Amino acid sequence: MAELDLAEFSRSLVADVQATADAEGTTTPEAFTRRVFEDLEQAGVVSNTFTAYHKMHGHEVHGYGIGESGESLDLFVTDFQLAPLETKLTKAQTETSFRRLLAFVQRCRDGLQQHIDESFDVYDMCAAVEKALTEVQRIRLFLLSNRVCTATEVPTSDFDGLQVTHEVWDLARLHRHATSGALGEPIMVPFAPPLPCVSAPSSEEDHSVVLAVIPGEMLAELYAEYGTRLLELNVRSFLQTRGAVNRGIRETLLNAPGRFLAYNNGITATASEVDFVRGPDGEPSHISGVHGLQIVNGGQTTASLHYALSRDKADLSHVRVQMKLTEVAPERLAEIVPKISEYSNTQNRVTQVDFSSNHDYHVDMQRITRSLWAPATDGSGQETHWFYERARGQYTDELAKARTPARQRQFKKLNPTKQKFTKADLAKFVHSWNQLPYHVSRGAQKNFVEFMFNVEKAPPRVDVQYCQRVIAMAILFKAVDRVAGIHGAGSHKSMITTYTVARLALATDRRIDLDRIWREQGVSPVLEAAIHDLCPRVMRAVTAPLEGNHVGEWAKKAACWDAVSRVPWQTPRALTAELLDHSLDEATLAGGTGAEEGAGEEAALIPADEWYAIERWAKETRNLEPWQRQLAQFVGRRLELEQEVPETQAVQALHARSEALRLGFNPGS
Amino acid sequence: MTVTEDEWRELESPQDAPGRSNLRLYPESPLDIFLSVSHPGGQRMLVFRADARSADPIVRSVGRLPKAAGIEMNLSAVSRVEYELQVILTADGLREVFNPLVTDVAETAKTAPAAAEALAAAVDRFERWQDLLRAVSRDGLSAEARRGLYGELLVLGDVLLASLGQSEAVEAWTGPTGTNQDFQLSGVAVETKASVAKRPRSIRIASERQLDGTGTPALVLALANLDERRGGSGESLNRRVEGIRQQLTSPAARARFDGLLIQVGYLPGQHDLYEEPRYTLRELRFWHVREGFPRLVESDLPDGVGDCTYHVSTSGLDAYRATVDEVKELIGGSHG
Repeated sequence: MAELDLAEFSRSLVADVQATADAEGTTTPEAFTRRVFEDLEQAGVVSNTFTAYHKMHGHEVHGYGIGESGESLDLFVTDFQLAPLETKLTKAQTETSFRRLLAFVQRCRDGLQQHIDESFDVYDMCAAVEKALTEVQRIRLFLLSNRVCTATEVPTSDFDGLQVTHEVWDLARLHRHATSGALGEPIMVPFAPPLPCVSAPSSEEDHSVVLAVIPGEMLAELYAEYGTRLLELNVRSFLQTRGAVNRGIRETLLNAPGRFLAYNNGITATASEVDFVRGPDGEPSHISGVHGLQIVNGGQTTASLHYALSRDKADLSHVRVQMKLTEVAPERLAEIVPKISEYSNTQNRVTQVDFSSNHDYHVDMQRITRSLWAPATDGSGQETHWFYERARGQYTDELAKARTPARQRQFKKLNPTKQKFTKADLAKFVHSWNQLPYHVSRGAQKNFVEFMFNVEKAPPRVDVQYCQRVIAMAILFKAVDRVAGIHGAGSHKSMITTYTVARLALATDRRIDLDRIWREQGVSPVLEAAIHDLCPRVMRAVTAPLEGNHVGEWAKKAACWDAVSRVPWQTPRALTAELLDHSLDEATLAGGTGAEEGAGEEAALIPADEWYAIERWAKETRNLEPWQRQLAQFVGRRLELEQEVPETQAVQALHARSEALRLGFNPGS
Repeated sequence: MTVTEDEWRELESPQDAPGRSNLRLYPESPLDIFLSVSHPGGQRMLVFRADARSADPIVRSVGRLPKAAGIEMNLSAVSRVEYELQVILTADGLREVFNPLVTDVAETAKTAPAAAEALAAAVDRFERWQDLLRAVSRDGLSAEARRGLYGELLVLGDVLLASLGQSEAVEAWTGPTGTNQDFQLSGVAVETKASVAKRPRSIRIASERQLDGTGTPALVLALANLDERRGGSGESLNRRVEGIRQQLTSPAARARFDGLLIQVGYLPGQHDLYEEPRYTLRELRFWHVREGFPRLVESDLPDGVGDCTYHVSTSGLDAYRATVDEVKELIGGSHG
């Protein structure tokens, strides 16, 4: 987002929230809350968030979350105004909101859930909060507002012995983040007394490196305070499982804390600025403060220290951790940090993935969908676009460009809000089709990250047909969503929808005619009837957890997908008659229309032996996916037999080869 | 429709599974309205279900949901796209109040043009009730409110019930629901005033709408001049109420009447507060409020002026006097 002044930012925020609320048929406070959740999840401030609104005399709540490590219970209250600049959020209002949010926690503890109908979203929230209270170590209350708040500092309090902290995310703060590009406030750590360090003279202009030994307790406390935000630039933090602790590290901490320094690899950190105390020779001798601290390697070490301190109550006073600290100019961050992270991760490679919306995939998707006309099927003859919102606010920005009300109406007619979809939506549609409903159920951000890994593994060729088919998946998803609503899926609808789509894809071997769905901009009556038949069966499996008793948690597990896969259901005969004779799986979709020019020839220019070598190398070094290895072997075989390589496979194989080259495969050896 | 114990009894019959029994009211209304009883808790509630978009304004409105002792209002997300507003009875002692309250709130909501307005109207209406219940919670109605109620009941019992059927007469008593005049029929509206001054020289008019005849063919002003004292041979408010109840043989009319009494704050648990004072009617006078009658109406007021309270002097009103028979004729002639 470009530099905007506060008023402009506020205006576009309101417009954007209204458009989203319209498109999703929800309330503006709900849409706003979701939007802030996405930001906060991306910044690693919160995770596993869930929106549910409940208001009665004395309390009001808009949603909750359980921190990544399961240590904190997060509750959210939202103040969303349509004219946010006319008034300010006062100190008294802020305190009242927090008080009422805490009253909700208290009522959950006292069994509020018994008074709420089980079919409500709110019921799940109350149950989860009540349960969390017995497990977490602290409570964080968040006030989200699109007004400017006059008093953002609220002192810490406590509840049943749990520490309660208060965070206000008001317009000013949201604006700062939207414009600074990094959502978290830069992490600023003072060292008192200053930490001795050894600096290495550097011939490089844009960075300097120092070595230091940091007290383990300090690192543990940093993690307690900032959590995954310390690891924003550490790609591996995306892969971390909840509360994962390295057992070896833990043993050392508990049994031989004095040897930690000797055993552990230490951490690699970057900072945008380091305050040094300099010796008489002008060389840095101590670190007195660090700005914009990021741990790019050693995230697990840091997390394990934190858990040893908080869960095992370990004594960390003798634990020291070595730290390599690199001062990098902020503008070089994006370039240098991934390299540091990549080269320091020797134990298992981490794929470098660009999670930004500037990835070619999204750019292509946007380019094509903007000029792609969806057929008019309502008899009006009015063709429309499906508006892909690659970056947030694009829709409202476009709308704002239409200067007159008449033009705005026209824009909305051509780009109905119901046909707006974001990159998170796209990931949801595609993953549901590709039978990954448990990823979808893990939340927008996690699912999106997973999606980008898959895009990276097998980049689809984004052409007109690909876009049409993805939109067809969206239409199918929305149709299933409607049906799920009719069958009373209630608060579990999002999970039931993704699982129903996945089960349908499984039963039909992904042979549903997506091109027809695109042409008709809807699902056929036969397909709709099949969905009606299937949905309640899936619903029963999803809402009856075989592990644990929380449906939301159950839906995140692959075991849930196993259970749904076993739901007995045959494709009805009428639907079978409508199916294609080939599967629209990842490879087919990615391959585009077969109009790909030259991938076949390009693959044929590479000797068959090299393809075989890739396969051997990948097997030995355990790189690439099994299907990629197989593909290399298959292409080599085709070339040896002097046969053509099918376009689809050629594209994938070429991609596998470039990945192999990047990972160190050397064709000459 | 008037919500009575019969509806609840039906809903309260025990169920095997936890959940709710629902009775849909007003299927034609712009949103789903139910009477609901939860099982096994047995909580009575009035429920409004609407799409989330319609709930948007009441979710956004800052502030607290009203709560009267024993009756609460909740707003809750069923899902991201569906919301529910509930009016819940939490103290059994208020059962008798709860019925007219939900009757009134539901009736208000059903006449709204769309779901969003219906929800807003329901919240507003509930706030009115809450104010009322709070106002009478300790000492009951104020002396002035009692007089006013006595005056209205006098006109209801002696004039309307004498010239109309029971149900029509009770239906015509609209004052408790907050209308501009105390009695409204298709052909005439009556505004009733009560005074305890020996010789009232003026009548206090509470707003520029009370004597505004817009929308009614005829408008009558009634003044009950009362003698009010503790003890003595006069009639207490309770006696007056009982007298009218005796006349109402139709259960529906009687239920409606009881509901209206609650709506003005004459609560079932507080009847002993109304044994005193006692009232004796000195004189009941009527005037036709027509062209030339001294009054303020909305269209007379300069822009920006509103909510006027004013006094009309009784001395210049002789030309507009009406007899009781004329009034009865007006009333009887409008079968509405």
